[in-house]
Amino acid sequence: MKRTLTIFLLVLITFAGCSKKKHAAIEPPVQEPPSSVEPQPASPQPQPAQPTTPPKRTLEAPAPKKRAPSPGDTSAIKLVESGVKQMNAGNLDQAEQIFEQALRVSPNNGRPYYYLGVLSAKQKQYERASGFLSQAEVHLHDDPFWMSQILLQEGLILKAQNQKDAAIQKFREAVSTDPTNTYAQSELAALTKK
Amino acid sequence: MEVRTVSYDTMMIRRVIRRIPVGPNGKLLTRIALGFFFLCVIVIAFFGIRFYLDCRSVVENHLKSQTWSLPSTIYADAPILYEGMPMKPARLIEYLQRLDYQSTKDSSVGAGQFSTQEFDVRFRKHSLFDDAAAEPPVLVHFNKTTIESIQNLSSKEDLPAYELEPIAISNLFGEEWEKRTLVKYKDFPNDIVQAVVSIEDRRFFHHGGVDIKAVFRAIWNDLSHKKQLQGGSTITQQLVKNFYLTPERSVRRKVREATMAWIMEGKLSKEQILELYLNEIYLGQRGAMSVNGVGEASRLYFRKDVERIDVPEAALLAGMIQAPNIYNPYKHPKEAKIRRDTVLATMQETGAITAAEFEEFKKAPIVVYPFDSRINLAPYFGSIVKTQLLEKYDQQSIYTKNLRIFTTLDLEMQQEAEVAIQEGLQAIDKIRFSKTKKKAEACLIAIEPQTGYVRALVGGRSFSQSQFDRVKQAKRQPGSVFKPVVYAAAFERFFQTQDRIFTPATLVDDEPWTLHFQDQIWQPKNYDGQYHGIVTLRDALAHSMNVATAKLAMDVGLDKISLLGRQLGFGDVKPYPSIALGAFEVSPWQVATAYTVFANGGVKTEIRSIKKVADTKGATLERSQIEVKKILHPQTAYLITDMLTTVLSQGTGAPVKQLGFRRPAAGKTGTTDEYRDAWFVGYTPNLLCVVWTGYDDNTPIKMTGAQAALPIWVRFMMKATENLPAEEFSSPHGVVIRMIDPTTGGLATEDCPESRPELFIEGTEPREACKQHGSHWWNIFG
Repeated sequence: MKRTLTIFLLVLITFAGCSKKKHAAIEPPVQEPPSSVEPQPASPQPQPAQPTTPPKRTLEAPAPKKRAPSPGDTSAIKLVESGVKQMNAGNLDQAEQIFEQALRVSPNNGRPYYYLGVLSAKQKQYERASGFLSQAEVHLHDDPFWMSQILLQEGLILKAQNQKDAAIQKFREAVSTDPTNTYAQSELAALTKK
Repeated sequence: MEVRTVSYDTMMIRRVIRRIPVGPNGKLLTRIALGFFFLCVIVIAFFGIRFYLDCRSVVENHLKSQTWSLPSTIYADAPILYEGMPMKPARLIEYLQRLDYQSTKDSSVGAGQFSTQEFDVRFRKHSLFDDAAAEPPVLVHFNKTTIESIQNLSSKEDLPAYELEPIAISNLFGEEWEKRTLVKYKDFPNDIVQAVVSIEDRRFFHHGGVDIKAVFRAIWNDLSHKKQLQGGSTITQQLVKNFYLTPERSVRRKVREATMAWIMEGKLSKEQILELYLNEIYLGQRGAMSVNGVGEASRLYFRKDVERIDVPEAALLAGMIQAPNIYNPYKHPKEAKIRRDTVLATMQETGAITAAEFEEFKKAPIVVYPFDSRINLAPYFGSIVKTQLLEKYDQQSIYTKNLRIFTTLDLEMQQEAEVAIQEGLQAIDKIRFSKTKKKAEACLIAIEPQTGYVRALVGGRSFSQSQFDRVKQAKRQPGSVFKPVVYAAAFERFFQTQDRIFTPATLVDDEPWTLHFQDQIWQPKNYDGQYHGIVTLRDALAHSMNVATAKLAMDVGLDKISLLGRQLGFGDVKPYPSIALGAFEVSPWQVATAYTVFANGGVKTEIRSIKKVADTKGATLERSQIEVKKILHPQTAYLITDMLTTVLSQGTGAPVKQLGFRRPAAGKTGTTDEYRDAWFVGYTPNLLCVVWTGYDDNTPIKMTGAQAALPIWVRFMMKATENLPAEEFSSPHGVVIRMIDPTTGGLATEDCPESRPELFIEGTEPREACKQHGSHWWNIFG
């Protein structure tokens, strides 16, 4: 009798589990709750019918490694500053050499890539510019200011290539990443106004 | 009245003729003799004038278009010093010594010198930048093993970085293997002028090209068997001989030499003649290359510019002119010293130095510096550079116009690469030579992924034996080295279509399998004959499983893989199932290009060997730039890099760590059908290296990539990265980590016997706990 009761309970619990799972499947697959950064149990809702074995948590993943500063960072940033001066003065060739030097001094620093992207865009080498900006993104994505600047530049490239919708999307992302990015705001306003 | 005018010469001739006994036909004979005489005069005058005009035209034409045949020079890349750079002073000193810089204890140093007291380095102008201000004298401060600061001594400002002078790795010679450094007359120190003039032609400033007194003195000395200090030929005659004539000893040549010298003296000033002479003279050998001119000789023997040589050094060079090999200070220092002292004696005789100076200079020992006799420090690389140059410049310009070609090669890494290849080949020969009776080949290319710079390149066992460059010219099957492309194509699908998502945790069945494709049957097999059942994609790549990869390729789509292969630079990759296992041909150069995409966050960088070409004055003729193109999403590239780090930590590339290379690195082994090719490709964030080994005729090497190519890679990378900061691979945004159960691919729970962190492109991560061991044990019915 006791055995039959146990089996009955087990079947009941199993069905309860299946119905929960169907509910979970309705949720959009990509939209994760903010807590999803730290892995949570697959079924977030408590299971009422688990008298004997409480739900076990999925294991927590280690935090992603943060980039350690490189010994060349300080020099790379100084070089970039000097390259920007050259670029603003119209000495694009000289500026490019300095950015390249900065990149060699600290290959994992995103700023030289960013400015090489800006410089390539100035020279209308859009494919090259996109390549550099993509590399800049890899190294600077943790910094909202720089990330917003990268998105802005990507938007400007798309705008120059007459890809209006894609450009608007980039400007929107730039503004949402850094709401103080006034350049991105004005570009967005100008495009959406038209 | 008839007036007859008779010249003085005619009267004289008549008088002479009158004295000749006249016979019955005397008058007739006289006329014949006279006629013959005049004929001779006319003929001699005709040929004399022709000879003179001929000599004059040769000299004039030569002087009009006088250009030295100066070979172009290929330079290695110059290291960049920067604040905070990990570098010991000893390494910088070694580099400067390779540049022939001189160390001095004096705190005020000249160009090409450095003082180790404060590490005050004065660099020579090297024209890497057009702007000369970019090459100021600098003061480098060290904090034990780090560069603390670099100060511009002119402006007293701190510099963030400083590019050193590059080292020449080879010259591009035409027919003449001559090396010279041209110097203007005003830059020659008076000592060298005095030394040369006093020993070679002390009346140089007084004669008109031919020194009659010296000729008679030479003849007299010759007849009386006296030892002569000076020859009969003047400096101008010697110059003429070098420029226009053969060394043949004949009266005709001597006359021609004298005539041309006389003509040259009329065309050029003494200073111009001496400038030509001092730049032209032969002064010894550096390996197969002849050293011409005192400018080049001064750099070779004394490691300094001729402007800075002292009197004994000037006398040594002047003494060598007569017989550079006999008075060679390396081979015959005794003879060289005796000859030098002789020159000093003549300088005293001419008043160029005082008796006291003579006594003092005589005591100076002969000090010359050793030199590297190799004239090509990176022959395969040089050959690639030359081929590239010939696409843009004509041969004549390359061989004679003294172009300066600044390349991307790192000389220290190049030397390590050569050692690694030699040692690797010796190890392979030990195993294989007894069986094949022939020597295996190997090649290596190392590049900086961010810039595409070729840092080291070895195209084979020996350039002197085979100029075939296996890095660029050889087409070999890449084998498993191609596999990451299959996995990258799989992960990229998420960004194109989400009908089927692949992640490193996706499970695939590695069991014997038969594929029916276009009426053909294909049965891929694992190299070791072992099959692993259900495995994750990460494990499949780490252990280079053929069946699992082939199945994945079919799921992903051959068209997608072939397209990605082409975009990465693998060439014309046809969409056949066997491409998944790298059954097509590529060069190691192409493999290196393709792998830049993984190392660079999805961006392909074109490989570069030439940075800049400048003309003889330093003006830039062309400059190359970094060429990049986005190929993959950065998240895909990062996943591949991370999976390739597993290859080194747990997979087929595990010997990398066992052999001692412990930096963050990613890599892939490659072994082709019947072990014909053995590859290893690996990279750190700042250096990527491809090694291939095999036989040129496709004989199986019977060794895996891990056995043959990997040790070469490790040997090279350990040395090459010694001075590079150890960096981690940068993770892009949109990559998340989850703990998974590798047997199910689901999120790991406390009940899972095995768990590990896994990377996912955001949106592809698993949401459900492992069903097999998960907390919701009722899921087994779900």
